[in-house]
Amino acid sequence: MIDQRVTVAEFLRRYNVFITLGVLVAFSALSTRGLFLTAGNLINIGERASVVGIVALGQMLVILTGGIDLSVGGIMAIALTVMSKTAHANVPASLTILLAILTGMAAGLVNGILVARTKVPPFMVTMGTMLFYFSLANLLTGASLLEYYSLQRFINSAFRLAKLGERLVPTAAWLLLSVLLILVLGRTRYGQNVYAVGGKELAARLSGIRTGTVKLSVYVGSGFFSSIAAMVLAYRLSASNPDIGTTALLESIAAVVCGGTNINGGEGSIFGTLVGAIVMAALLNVLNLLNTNPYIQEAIKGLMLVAFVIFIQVITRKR
Amino acid sequence: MELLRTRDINIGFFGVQVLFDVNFELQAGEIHCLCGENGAGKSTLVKILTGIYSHYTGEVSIAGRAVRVASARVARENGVFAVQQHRDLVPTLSAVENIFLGNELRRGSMRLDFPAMREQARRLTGGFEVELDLDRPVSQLRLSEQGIVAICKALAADSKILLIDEASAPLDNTERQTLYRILEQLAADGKGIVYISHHLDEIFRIGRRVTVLRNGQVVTTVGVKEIDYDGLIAAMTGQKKLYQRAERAAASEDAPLLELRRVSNDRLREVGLSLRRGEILGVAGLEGSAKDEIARVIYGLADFSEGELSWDGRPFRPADPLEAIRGGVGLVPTDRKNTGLVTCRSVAENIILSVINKAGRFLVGPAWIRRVAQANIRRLGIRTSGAGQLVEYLSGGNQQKVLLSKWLEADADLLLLLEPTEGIDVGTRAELYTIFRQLAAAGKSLLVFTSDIDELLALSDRILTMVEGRIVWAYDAARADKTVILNDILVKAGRGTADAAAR
Amino acid sequence: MPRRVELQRFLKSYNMLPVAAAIVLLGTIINPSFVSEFNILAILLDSAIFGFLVLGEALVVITGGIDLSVGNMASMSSVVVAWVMKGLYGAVPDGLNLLVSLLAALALCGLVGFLTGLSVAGLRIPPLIATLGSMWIVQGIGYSFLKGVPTGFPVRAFRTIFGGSLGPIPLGAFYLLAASVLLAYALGRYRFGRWVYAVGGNDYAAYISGVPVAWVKVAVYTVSALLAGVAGFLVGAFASVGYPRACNSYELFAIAAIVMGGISLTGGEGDIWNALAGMLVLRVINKLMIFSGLSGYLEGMVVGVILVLTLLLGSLRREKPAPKAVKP
Repeated sequence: MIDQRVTVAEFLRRYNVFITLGVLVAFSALSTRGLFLTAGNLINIGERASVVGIVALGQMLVILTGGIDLSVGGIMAIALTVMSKTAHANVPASLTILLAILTGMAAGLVNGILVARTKVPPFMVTMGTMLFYFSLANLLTGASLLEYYSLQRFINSAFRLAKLGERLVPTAAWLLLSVLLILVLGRTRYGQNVYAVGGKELAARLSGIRTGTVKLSVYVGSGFFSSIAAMVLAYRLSASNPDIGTTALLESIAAVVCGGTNINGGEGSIFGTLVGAIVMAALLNVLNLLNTNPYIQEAIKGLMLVAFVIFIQVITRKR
Repeated sequence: MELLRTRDINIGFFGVQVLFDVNFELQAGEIHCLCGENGAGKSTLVKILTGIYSHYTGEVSIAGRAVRVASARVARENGVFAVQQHRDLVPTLSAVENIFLGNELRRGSMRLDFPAMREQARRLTGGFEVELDLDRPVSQLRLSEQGIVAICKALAADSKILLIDEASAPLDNTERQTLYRILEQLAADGKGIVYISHHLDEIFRIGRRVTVLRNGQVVTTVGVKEIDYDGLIAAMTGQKKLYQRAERAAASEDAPLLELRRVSNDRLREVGLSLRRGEILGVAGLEGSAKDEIARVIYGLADFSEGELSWDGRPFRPADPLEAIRGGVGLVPTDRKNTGLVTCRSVAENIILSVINKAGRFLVGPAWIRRVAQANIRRLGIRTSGAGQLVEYLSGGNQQKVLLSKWLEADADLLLLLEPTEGIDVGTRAELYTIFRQLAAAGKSLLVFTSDIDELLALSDRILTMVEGRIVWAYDAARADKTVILNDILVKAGRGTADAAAR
Repeated sequence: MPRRVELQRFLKSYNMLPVAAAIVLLGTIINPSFVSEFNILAILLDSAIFGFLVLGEALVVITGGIDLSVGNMASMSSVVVAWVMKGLYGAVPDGLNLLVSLLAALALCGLVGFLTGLSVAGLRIPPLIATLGSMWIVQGIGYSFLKGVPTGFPVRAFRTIFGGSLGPIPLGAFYLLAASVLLAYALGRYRFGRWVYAVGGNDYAAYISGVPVAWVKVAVYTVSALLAGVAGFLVGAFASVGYPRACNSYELFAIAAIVMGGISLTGGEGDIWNALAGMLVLRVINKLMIFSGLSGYLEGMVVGVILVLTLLLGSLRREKPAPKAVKP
């Protein structure tokens, strides 16, 4: 009764999200009679995936260190608020972008300080700050509509984008950031430290890593990515209410987990998270194309997350 | 009467077979000792018998009846009970609750009978002649008290077969004697006890028979009177002698590299020592001697309120491990799986982890990592399927080599080694000793903290003994006597001069 | 250091009740009509709803898990009751209708809870993920039954039983009290209670002691779901309609209450009375803010800050310092 399934299980664990993508694409193409694979639809998926995908990058960074960031939606909300308020105050768009990013990073810094300097678990810290940030955003805007027209115009003119180019911006931004993070995590000392802190914090500390600083930095990073995601959202929608970031949280966690990152930290690849976000977006896209009841979509999202994790657990049963 | 018998037990994990046709048998009224090096398979056998691992092949029969030990429940129902080192207590529950967990006394059919449980718990712990606080969470008890609670749990379960796995480690001398007495009493009452221990003297003290495991196979099962110390070791290791003391070149005559002068904090009392380049200094002491605190101070994990610490003549006071590492110190901690290595990362990634932080190196490319790792794998003879192999799959000895590589890469001048060969098989142990001696010959200093006196005698140039935070005496290892050293550290009240820096 | 020990002792004791009293006092000072019958009724009714969620969540957290689905479970419960009741209205005697509706809701909640528990215990899925998933699933179910349309409860008895009150005290509060006493009794006097704490403290030790760890875990998630179902009844009766977004984010407040009540998220310790008291504090704060005309959003901020502060205090009160890195 000796366990012989090692190599097959390892393979499945690492690549299951790609297999799922393949299956999903095949299923979607067939059931929508090719509609799924048109350029227009693929761009749609890219747009849909980009916001969550960017948030997922930051979330993954945090999860890699063994933490979690529940406040990403809240940070998006205050970033959106800042953008809207400054737009209305006729502040130049380039400054708006800067302010939004700084806001996001500052919010992340608060999270980071609390996590690194106190023994409070990240789950609770970011739950508290989530509540705080969301409420703050709603308070400042009175929960009314936010408008970001100038941002859209600014970026379009800055990059001289035609109509089609305009629609590729979210996806391009997302892919660019992903590549950046891949490089940082894979080829720098910082990346090694992040994985070490998540893998075995005590060992990391004894190896000379300033674990407090690393933990603090990933939350700042998550705040950074959340604010960029908010900008992409603002770019796409030109108007929204502040609550729009609520789904981003859960979907970002789902993308990270389905992408093969270990929720306890220390293991995971950006590429997997990337594909995880694509899978989620593609799934919802195909459900839309098939005219599924939007309420059922929520349920299916949940089922998919659970099914994914079940699959991973079942095939890699650790004794 | 035969209480327990295993026939041709085989088991493996992740494609690696761990036990081979193990045959074992326990009689009623017997204390049957099980010994072998770490990795020999003793704990695995215990886990099979207690139902933790159920994917074994072979037969287990209890009291003559064949039993498939498919779960912990089955094991308990058949009267098999194990006591393992403090892992089988719930830290947030009290001693009473722990003792009766899964075995609760009830009034009527359902309600818990607290008074009866407290009464019995008091009686059981009283047998150890300790005043235990029965109501505090056990995490707040001393380690030795926790050990006693674990043993009482086994006693309360009224089981017929007791598997005691390294339970005597946290106990002090008196408590240990009480444990022996209780076990002998239980045996006299007709129970069967399987006793696993690294302390070979215990085997001769209480055992009737001893079974030796080596590499997952039963080497021999023999009456305790029919074998001696050397014979046991030979069976365990396949070799005759355990440690050889090698002649080495004397350490350099220069000024000391590291000096502690009357260093004190809440655990240390005026500790003084000096260490030269190329010297191996051993520190012996039991639990409670705070010998690890010296390492912690040197490594920046603890501060001191009085005294001086100097490196190369200059004051040295690292505020955290990184500063100590930049100063030239490396630490090989006790629990290498949890504090020394990041087990879910590869061999290569572990090896470079300290050097990149010490030097503040920004870019760390995969090609460079692999190169460094390969060099070290060759240099130290690390047995692994590749530089990319996850450290958790390596054997204890090879994991230790990875740890050493890490510090060689980081160019450490001083290595703090805590229980460096704990849980490592004798073959690799010898390799490690050779490596240590080579390091010393190359000019590195080693500070070895261990409870294995033989190891200290074989390895060190000098040995310091510590009791309760105080250095008792310093010995020249080549001429030291094991009994004298043991005597030093076993005595409760410290004696001897405070500053044992004198040679 | 006697001072520090005293502080710790104080924090460990039933500290939330005096805090709640203090806040009520504060409110009364600000505006004497704060302690009106209306207000007390509102606070107690709120507390009853949240209380059931807190009880279930506390049980799960003590075993070392977490349940993010309780809020949506309560919403779904109210929706199911409304749906079944509307469907059966007129076709069946009211009493039977009520019974069937309630049982249907409880059955569904129990089923989801049971399956969640199985995933956590059997498939070893982290509770965070498992309950995240079930939260979504339940949300979807809740929407799909009534297509998001708030629906009333035709059977009057429903509103009377779950929405009525005895003087200034809503009946829900009595139900909560009864449930709490039962739960406290079960946890304290029966071995199941020891098992729950053991599983949270060290599930390996529990397993080898013969505790049926898996079943304990399945049980707590099921019970949590059932209690959330009952909370849904109260919500429905209070709002007079069943609708899917009724209890959005309630789980956050439930978890906050538990943390304030001193239950450790790592499991193995804590008692439900303190958790309930923590919840009471949150509810009083909520009413105080509404009463003072402050924006509802400010409450979110305040609770967020309070939560973090409580956790900070909690981590200060740990008597043993974190284990040091290097051991002998």
